[in-house]
Amino acid sequence: MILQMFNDIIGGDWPYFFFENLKEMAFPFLWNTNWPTGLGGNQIIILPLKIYLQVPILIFVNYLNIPWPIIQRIFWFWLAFGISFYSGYRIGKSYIGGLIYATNSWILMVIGGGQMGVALAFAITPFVLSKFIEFISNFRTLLENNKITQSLIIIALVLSLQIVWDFRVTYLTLFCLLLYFLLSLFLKKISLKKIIKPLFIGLLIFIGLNFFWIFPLVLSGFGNTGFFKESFIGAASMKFLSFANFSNSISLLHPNWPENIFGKIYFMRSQFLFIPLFAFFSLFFINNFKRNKEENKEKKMKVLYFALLALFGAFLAKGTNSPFGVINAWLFSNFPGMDLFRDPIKFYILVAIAYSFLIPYSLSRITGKKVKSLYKSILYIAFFVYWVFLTFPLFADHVHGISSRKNIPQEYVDLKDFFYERKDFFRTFWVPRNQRFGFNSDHHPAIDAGNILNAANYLEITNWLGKEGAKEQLARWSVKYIIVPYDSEGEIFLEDRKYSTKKYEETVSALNSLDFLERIKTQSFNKIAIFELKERINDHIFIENKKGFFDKPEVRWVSIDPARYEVEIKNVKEPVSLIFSESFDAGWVLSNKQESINSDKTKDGLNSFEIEKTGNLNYNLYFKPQKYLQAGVVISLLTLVIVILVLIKLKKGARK
Amino acid sequence: MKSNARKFFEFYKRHIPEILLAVIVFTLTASTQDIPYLNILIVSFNPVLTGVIAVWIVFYFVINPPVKKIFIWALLIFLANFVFVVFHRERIGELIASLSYAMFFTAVIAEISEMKNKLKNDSSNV
Repeated sequence: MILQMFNDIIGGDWPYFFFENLKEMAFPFLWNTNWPTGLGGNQIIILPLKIYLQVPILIFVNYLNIPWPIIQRIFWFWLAFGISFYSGYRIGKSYIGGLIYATNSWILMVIGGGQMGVALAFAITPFVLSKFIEFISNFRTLLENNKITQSLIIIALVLSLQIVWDFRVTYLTLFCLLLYFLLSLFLKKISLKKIIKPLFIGLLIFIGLNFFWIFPLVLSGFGNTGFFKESFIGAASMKFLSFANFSNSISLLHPNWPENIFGKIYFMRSQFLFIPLFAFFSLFFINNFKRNKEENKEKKMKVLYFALLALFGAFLAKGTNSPFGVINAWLFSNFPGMDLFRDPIKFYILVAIAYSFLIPYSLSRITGKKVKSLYKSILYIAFFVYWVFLTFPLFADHVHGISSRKNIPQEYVDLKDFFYERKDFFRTFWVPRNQRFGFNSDHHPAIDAGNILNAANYLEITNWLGKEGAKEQLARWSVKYIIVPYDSEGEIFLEDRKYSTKKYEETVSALNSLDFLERIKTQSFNKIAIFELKERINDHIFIENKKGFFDKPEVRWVSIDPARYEVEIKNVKEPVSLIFSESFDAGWVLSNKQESINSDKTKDGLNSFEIEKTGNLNYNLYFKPQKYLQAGVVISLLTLVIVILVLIKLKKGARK
Repeated sequence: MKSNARKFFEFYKRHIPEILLAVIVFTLTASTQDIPYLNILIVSFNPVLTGVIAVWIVFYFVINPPVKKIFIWALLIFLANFVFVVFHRERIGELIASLSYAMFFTAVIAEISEMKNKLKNDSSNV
């Protein structure tokens, strides 16, 4: 068990890093050479999560030499489980709530799928909500005791941490908070006039803490990666991804439970239908209070709120499925922010939070105060046994996904060594896509062929490679090697969700027949088929030879970091186009003391700079929005320091 | 002792207006899919499901049953879903679950409105 601690966690969306990758990690830049297709892009959308990933690696792995397998467990897996259990407990002050929240089929599938950003953001949601409920419920007391700021700072801090992990889950959290706020306003528990000012201050703190990504986002947008255009929009994609039906969503049963195979939906498991029965049973007791009246109203409101939240969550999580899927499709296309949820299954979060409160509440009210503690214990134990029965596939090892592993296939280690030793810049082109152990770095980015060509299968890719112009395009992308991966995990060459040798062999034989490729035959690569382009490829930065120069200018470049290069061009005799072989983004600027040249988009979507001057020229090539990120980070850090100082001062004041 | 058949007949006689109303509302809603223009809305929805929910909404407004009764029936109807799922009749189960969902939703909204009214009365009494 202890030895397992030193094994890597592998599987799902959880990335695998070689030691060399970890060693090269730094504070992330706004431009990512490897992302999203391998041709580079503005990574503002994933930047906060990258910071959370890379800063602990930088401090604990690279400086303090703590093994990465331990750090990944502490900062991701154990943290997600620990917070979700505490958070679930906190919402209803019940361990059963913690159990439901931390071990329901949805979160187990998310963790199994290695989506740890979502898992962490999910984990903290009930904590934020419980803090907000306390804030609204005790608003008058907090106002009288001057504790409003303290409360707001904690909520803003936790929300900021959550947005770092996953902004979509933060959107859902804000929905939960808004629903409670509106319900409180409707029931006149709070006065809008009095609360608006503190909420505005809270919003300012939140913006200050998140300035590091808000500032570059406002000034430079999402860049030209087409991330939102291609991945997030389209009601048709929502329809395709609406895997859960209504019975699944209201029963908190993940449609892929337990195998976690994308698109494989199981029959409804009737045992899960008792979960909503337990939860909605709480509605019987809302008018049966005998204690102090104010407390009764508070509890009644909470039960109604969580019941409403569960009903909303179950309705939204089923996506375009019946009943009234048209409403979901309409919301997806028209309601601001809903287009983030093309995979509606994330709405399970609302159901999970609601049930973590409602089920313990039902159990406590069924037994009541008069019932002997023995019967009470029996009921709680019975529920615990029922819950273990529901999650039994987990113990029977039927849940697929991440696993702890000591070794990875030797072929991929050899491939990494082969590339890592090479000092020249080039890209690799993976057909149909990169394998989870396929090495890539800023110096040797990996292009996913399926992704960049928008190809649905390997045949479309091999067809494209056989077409005229493919060889030239690969050279312009600085592709030196084309690789057909060894599918050691059975994730790439699939037929009816099973590994197909035929597909692998057909891909290799299609590449063998291309005359501009030469296969590298080294035994150590075994089943990884590597092909090298026979002709010389373009460098990362090159002069376009469209005018047919006899005397082509010489280009030398040095990469300072992924967002900054020094470029030297010698012997320029006439105006030339300098091509920077990364995805076009208007943020790239070529400048020196005399001039500043903006990037133009080439026909194939790269960056081009028109240079009019002649002679020997020196330039800086840089990604302008990086400056906004640096300014934003400073403001966010300043806000964090101020906020912590204020918190300390307030705590000290309270003690006196 | 009255026979069960007799009891059922009396029950039927007592509720004949509601039953007739339910049949009419269901038929009207479900058949709107054949009426031009009006079917733009209904075709997008499942007509049977829309009919069932429409019956429930009309029933609620006409009868205005106590919220506790709605909760009990919603839970019982959801339990019926369990039976259908066990026998792999998921589509009927889905329909029944949706009806119980609509009932829960109505009951929760009704409870919130009632709570608001009570709070209003409490503050006016003070």
